[in-house]
Amino acid sequence: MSDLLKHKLPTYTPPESVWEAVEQGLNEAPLKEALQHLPMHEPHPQVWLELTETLPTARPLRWWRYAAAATITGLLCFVGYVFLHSPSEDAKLTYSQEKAFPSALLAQNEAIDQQYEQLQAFCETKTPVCEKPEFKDLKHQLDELTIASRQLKEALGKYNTDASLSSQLSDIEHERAELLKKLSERI
Amino acid sequence: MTENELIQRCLQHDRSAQRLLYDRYKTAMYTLAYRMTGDFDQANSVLQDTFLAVFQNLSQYRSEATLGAWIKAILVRKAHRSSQQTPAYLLMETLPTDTSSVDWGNDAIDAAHLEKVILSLPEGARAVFVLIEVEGYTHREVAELLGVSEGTSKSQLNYAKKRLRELLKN
Repeated sequence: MSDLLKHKLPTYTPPESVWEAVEQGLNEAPLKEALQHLPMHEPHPQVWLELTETLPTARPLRWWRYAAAATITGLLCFVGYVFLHSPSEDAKLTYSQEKAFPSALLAQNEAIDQQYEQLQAFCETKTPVCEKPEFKDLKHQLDELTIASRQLKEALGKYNTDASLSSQLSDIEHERAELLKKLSERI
Repeated sequence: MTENELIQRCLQHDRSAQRLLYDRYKTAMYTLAYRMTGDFDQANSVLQDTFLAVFQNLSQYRSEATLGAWIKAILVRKAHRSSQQTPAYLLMETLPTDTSSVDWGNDAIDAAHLEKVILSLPEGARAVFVLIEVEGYTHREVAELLGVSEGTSKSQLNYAKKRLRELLKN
C-alpha cells in the first residue's frame, strides 16, 4: 500500500534558491565562527558615576511624617477636649427643657398627699409638737399649699394637658414636699 | 535575586539594585553600542543615555520580551540616532542593491581583525550587519528599529558583507 502511494503521489523539486541559501550559509561559516569570538568591551567607570548624578535618589522612609501627623492630631484632640470640658466664666447660663410626664407627676402628688394625711392624723391626736408655733406656722403653709394643689388639680381635670398649670402644680408640690420634710424633722 | 525582584527594587529607586542591573547588562550593551557607533566615547554616551532611559521608563516594561531584549532595543535606537547626528553617516538608500552571495573562502578569520574591519564599514551598513549577523535580529526587526524598509535592510547587509570580504582580502 505504501509503495503504491509512493509511486502514485506526485513529487516536488525545491527551488534553486534553497540551495543557494544553504551554500551561502556554508560559505559564511568562517565569518560566523569569527563573529562568535568578537571581543567584548567594558564601559568606563565614569559612565555609572555620571548616570547616578542624573538618576533620582531613593525616596526616604516617610514613617516620621505619619508619626508627626499622628502627634499633631492627638494634640489637637487633647486641646479640643480640654477646651470643651473646662469650666468657663462665660458659660454660666444654661438652658434646658424637660418635659414632665403626667403619670409620674401624679404618682409623686399622691405620695405627698399620703404623707400630708399621715401628718394630719398625727396632729389630731394632740401631739405636743404640733402645738409649737414654728411647727404650726409650717403646718399652716402646708395647709394652704395643699388647698391650692387641690384647686389646680381640679382645674387641670382628668387629662392634664395645660402646660402652665402643670408647671404651677409641680412647683406647689415641690414646696409641699419641702414643708413636709421640715415638719417630719421636727416630729 | 530574580529579574522581577531586581526590577521591583529598581522601581523603588534602590541604587544598589540599579547598579546590579547595570552591571548585569553593561558589557553586552556597551559592546553593541561600540560596534554600532565605532567610537568608544560615543558608545559611553549611548550607554549612559540608554540606562537613564531604562531606569526612567522601567515601569513601562512588560514581560513580553526579556529585560535584556528590551534594553537592547532602547540602546539600538539610541545608537542609531547618535550615528545619524554625525556627518560621516552614509544614507542607506544610496547603496547598490546587488544581492549576489559572497564567498568567504575556507580560511579562518581573526576575530580582532574582523572587528576592526566591521568598524570601518559605513555606519548604516555597519548597524544592519551588527544587528542581523551579531545580535540575531531579523530584517523586519531591524527595519522597525532603524526606521527603514526591509529591502533597505537587506541591501545594506549584502553591501556590508561584500565590503567586509574585500577589506579582509586586503
